[in-house]
Amino acid sequence: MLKITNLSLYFGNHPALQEVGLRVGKGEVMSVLGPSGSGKSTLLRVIAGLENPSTGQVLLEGRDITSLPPHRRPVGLMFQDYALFPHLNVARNVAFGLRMQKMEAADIRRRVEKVLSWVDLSGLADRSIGSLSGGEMQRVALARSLAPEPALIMLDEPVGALDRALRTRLVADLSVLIRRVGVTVLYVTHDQDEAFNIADRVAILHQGRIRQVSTPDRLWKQPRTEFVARFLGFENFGDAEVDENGIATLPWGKTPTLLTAGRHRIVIRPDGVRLDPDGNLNGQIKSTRFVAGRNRLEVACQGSFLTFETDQTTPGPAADVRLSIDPAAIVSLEESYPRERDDLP
Amino acid sequence: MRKTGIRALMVGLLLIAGCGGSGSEDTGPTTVRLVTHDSFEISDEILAAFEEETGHTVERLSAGDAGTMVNQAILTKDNPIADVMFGIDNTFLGRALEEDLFEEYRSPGLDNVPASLQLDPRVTPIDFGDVCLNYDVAGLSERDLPPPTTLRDLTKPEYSGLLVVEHPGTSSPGLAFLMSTVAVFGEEGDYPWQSFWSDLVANDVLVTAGWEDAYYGAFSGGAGEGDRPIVVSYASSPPAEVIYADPPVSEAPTRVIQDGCFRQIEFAGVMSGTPVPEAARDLIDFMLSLPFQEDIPLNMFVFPANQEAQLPDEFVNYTEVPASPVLMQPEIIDANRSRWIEEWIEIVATS
Amino acid sequence: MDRDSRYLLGGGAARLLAAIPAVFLTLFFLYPMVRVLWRSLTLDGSLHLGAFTEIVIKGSLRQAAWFTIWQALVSTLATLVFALPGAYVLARFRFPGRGLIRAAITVPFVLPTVVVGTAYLVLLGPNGPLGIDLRQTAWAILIAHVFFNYAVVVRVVGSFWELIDPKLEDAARVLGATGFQAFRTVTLPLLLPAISAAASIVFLFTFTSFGVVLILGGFGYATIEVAVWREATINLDLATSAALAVFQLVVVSLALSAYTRLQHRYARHLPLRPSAEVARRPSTIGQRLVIGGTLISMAVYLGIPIITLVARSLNTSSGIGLTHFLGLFGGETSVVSPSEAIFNSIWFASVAALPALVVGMAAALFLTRPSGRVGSGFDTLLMLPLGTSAVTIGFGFLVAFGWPVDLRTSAWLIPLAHTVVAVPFVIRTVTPVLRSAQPRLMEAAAVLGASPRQVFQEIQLPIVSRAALVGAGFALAVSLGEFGATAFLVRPDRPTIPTAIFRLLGQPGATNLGQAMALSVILMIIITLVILAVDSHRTRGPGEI
Repeated sequence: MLKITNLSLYFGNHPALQEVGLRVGKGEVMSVLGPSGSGKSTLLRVIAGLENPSTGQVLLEGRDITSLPPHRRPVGLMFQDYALFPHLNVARNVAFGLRMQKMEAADIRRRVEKVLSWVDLSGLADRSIGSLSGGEMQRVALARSLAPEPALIMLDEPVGALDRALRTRLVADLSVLIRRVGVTVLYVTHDQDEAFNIADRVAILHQGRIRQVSTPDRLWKQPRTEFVARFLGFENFGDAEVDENGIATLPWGKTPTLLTAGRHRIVIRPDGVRLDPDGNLNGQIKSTRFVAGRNRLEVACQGSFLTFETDQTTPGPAADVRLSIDPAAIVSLEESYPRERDDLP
Repeated sequence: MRKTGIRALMVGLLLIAGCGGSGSEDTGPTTVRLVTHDSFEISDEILAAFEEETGHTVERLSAGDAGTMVNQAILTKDNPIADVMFGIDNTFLGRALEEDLFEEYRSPGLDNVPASLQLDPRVTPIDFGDVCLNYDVAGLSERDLPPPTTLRDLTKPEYSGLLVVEHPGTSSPGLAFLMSTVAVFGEEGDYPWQSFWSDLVANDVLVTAGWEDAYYGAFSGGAGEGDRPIVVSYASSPPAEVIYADPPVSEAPTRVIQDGCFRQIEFAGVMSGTPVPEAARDLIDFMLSLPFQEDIPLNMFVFPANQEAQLPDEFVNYTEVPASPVLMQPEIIDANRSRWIEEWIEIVATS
Repeated sequence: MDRDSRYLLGGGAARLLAAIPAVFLTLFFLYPMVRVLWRSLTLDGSLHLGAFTEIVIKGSLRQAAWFTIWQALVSTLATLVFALPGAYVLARFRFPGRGLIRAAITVPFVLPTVVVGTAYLVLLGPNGPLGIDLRQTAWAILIAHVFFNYAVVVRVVGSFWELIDPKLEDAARVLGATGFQAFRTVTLPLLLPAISAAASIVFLFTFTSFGVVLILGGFGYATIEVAVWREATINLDLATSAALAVFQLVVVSLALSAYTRLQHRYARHLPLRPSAEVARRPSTIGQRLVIGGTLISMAVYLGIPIITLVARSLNTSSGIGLTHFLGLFGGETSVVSPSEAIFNSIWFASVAALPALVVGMAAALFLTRPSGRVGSGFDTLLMLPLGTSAVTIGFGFLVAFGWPVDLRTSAWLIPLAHTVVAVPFVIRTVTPVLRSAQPRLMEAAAVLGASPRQVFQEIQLPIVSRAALVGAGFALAVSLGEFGATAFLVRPDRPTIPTAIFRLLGQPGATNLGQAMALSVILMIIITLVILAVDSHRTRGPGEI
């Protein structure tokens, strides 16, 4: 459906995108996740035709659209700040793309009504843009990009400007709506929960490069690089020496793994550690915090900190505990990219 | 500067704009282009009679004040914009003659014009007026003052703060008055014109930029709304005050002081290089004819050059032509004008 | 490849946009100007470079140069100080009579200086309301300059202010800023592009001030413009006059390029709001006091000279009456045909405004392209006509347009000269609004399938049209009031209202004065109606454009 190959874009000497490759299937919801400044919006702008790539190709439904001007591309783009036309009312904003297609007035009216009903704005057709609330503007913007039935719709932080409660609800609504419409979606966000909630697959973008593309589930279970893991919020990094029996020597102690023998750079997922009187690691609790219904513990083992989350009741700080680690939660990382720690938001 | 591209473009644009120029024609009914200063005014029927009589058409052009008009003619003398110029006076005549703007012509009508008005064979005097001090009759009698009889009187303490004059660098009557003080007091001797002006400044003279602001803004007589009873204006201003009075009056509210009047003669001339010299001369002849001459006073408030012309009653009753006005040769004016103004500014601005 | 060529009109169209003002100004401004300056400096066949050295040597001219710059700066500052509260009140609040007031303040802008000048001579004289004699002082010049240019600031800044979301200021208030702090730290920086645009126009106007300085300044004060005029029309020294005009152009160009750089630095993208939603009804006593105070000072400052003129027009021998108005139209005494003058004025204004709008909008669109790396040179060139002496423009037309078709005596030259002067106004009112319009909107339109032409038509044009109407109002006003350049053209005898007023004032007598004032009042009414009509289109709500 959408195929991007070897896409690079330089602003002066600064690389905004580097050798980006990405495939999105028909009807798929692909989320592009990355910290601010990672090149997410630039990628959307290149696909929309608002920027010219320095190298590479953009193919849509098998057609090379790299050199097409934006208005010839069958893509929709919803801007982060909505970019609603202040001189047009709600209905005329939504109708804009249809008018550009020279659709019959009656058809436009029908289509606008339909799209507005999708986003629950049927009553607001004649309102001026200035009189809308933030949530309403967001839905008008969505309706406007959906109206011309683009093959691909791109949403740039579509709920970024809204409050948390509204955001969660809208993401859920959005998820239902785009699947009902059956449109292919490229969804840009810096919020991992949002991406995991809505996307079929997630592409992690960092410093203009795609670092990993996976389903949310696989991404969580198998982050490929230290950057990706850090971006997902993982904290337990370390070097592992694994023997033939699969026993790893870690900074926190020795524990079984599923890894092959040899040296590994590893991360332990926060959900893979539990308090276990029979566990093979010894430690002392340094801090406990209650986060979103779970306990988040920081335990010092052999002088190194191990952070994890658990539903178990936990003793207070300074208590000595034993821990066990799920062998599948010890993930080996590729070291193809330099370790970066300072560029996280 | 002479890029053909630009010119070609211009031609194109002008054609698109669809505004054709008024070219001069050599054949058929002749059009005479008459350029005048902005104050030129003549009754329509008089001009129509000329066109009827001769078959020529007169195309009237306005060109700013007299100085502007002369400069325009100088800038375009290779391709004159008009065939006849009217309204150049002796103040600017020297410069125009130096640039050879006019062709020599002696109109038969000149026989009735006083020799004193005929300054150069290339131009024909049409009318004259005098720049004179005017005073507010009521304003002076309120102050129990007699009208001054000489320019020198104006430096006396009793006339302190009563006079308003125009800047000679920005106003034609202002320049005329300056020149008449130069003529009256001279450039040398015990009491040259510079001394007179120093004394005027000491006596609180008010200087305005133009005649309009002096007369309407600072002068108290007639229609003026100011506070000064003596102003540099024209010998014809009192009759104008009567004609345009509201309500009608039987006596002029202002009068003329005879000393220090400066004679301005307005000339007409056939422009050098005109394609229609015959018609241009016809127009000059017509300007000296009685119908035109008798139409002049009430339209332009100056006196006709033709002595045969009858003056309207108001001109007879409410003013008189000054007996011995200052008459200065154009060459002298042209050679000194700039220097006089500079010196005057020096005196007035620094004292 | 141009980064933005994807959704904006492409290279060819951008060149076309630039070509319209470039060709227009080259043909009708630069070409005539260069021709006349060259001709003036080489009248007798050799180049008079001596004229330039004379400027430097002559003390009076050096003094004029300093005074010109000084008074222009002070006048500009004073006008801003006086007029910004007016711009604020008229942009931010809704109250009865707002539209009429906004139209009426344009009146001074079009009144001929000679008319206002005579009124001020009386008002600032010893018998005036102030009771002190300010005639022939720099004060008189400053007071009159503020009077004439008040509308420039109110309209240029106000039309932009109307578009700024008041919530931004609210945000600052919530963050603990006082009302004034909120203005100083939020609104003022956002307004800077418009303020500097207005200031640049006022600066140019006062820099080339002529009538005001002549009439009110007396002999002690002369600007370069006055010196240009004096050399050309009294001393008949065209070379010196041209040298001075060149000098004036150089100073103006330097000032303008400094301004252009400033303008680029302060331009920001703003979320613009429809004006109908920005203006609020005054709610607090404080707001009512501010509005009341501003309107009263406006009434005193702008009203008194205007009322003086109206009173003069109604003042007849038999008390208050319409005698002068009736006399204008029916009387035997009138030296001009007022109906002809009114017709000519309106006709010339309509003919001048349209091309001014087209040229000005094209220039503004070109200047504000997001990728626009336009040298400040082009920007400066566009403003230059405002800083050029009327003598130069008038004489320039005469020298330049004798060939290939002799246009020198065509009536079309009058609206053409007005257009040249009006273009900078259109550009200056449209540019700040266009600069602040977010490029995002055009991108959104492009992604929705709008071709560059449609983006232009559907987004840029409607957004700019409100500002363009303000520019159009100015273009009409400039044309209706223009006297300077008109006076230096050779033209068929077709009086405009200002020239008719001038002619009436040129003769002594109560009737002439009364009728000149009556005609001035008619000019005031016409301009008020014109601006009201223009504004009624401008303030229509969103969605109706």
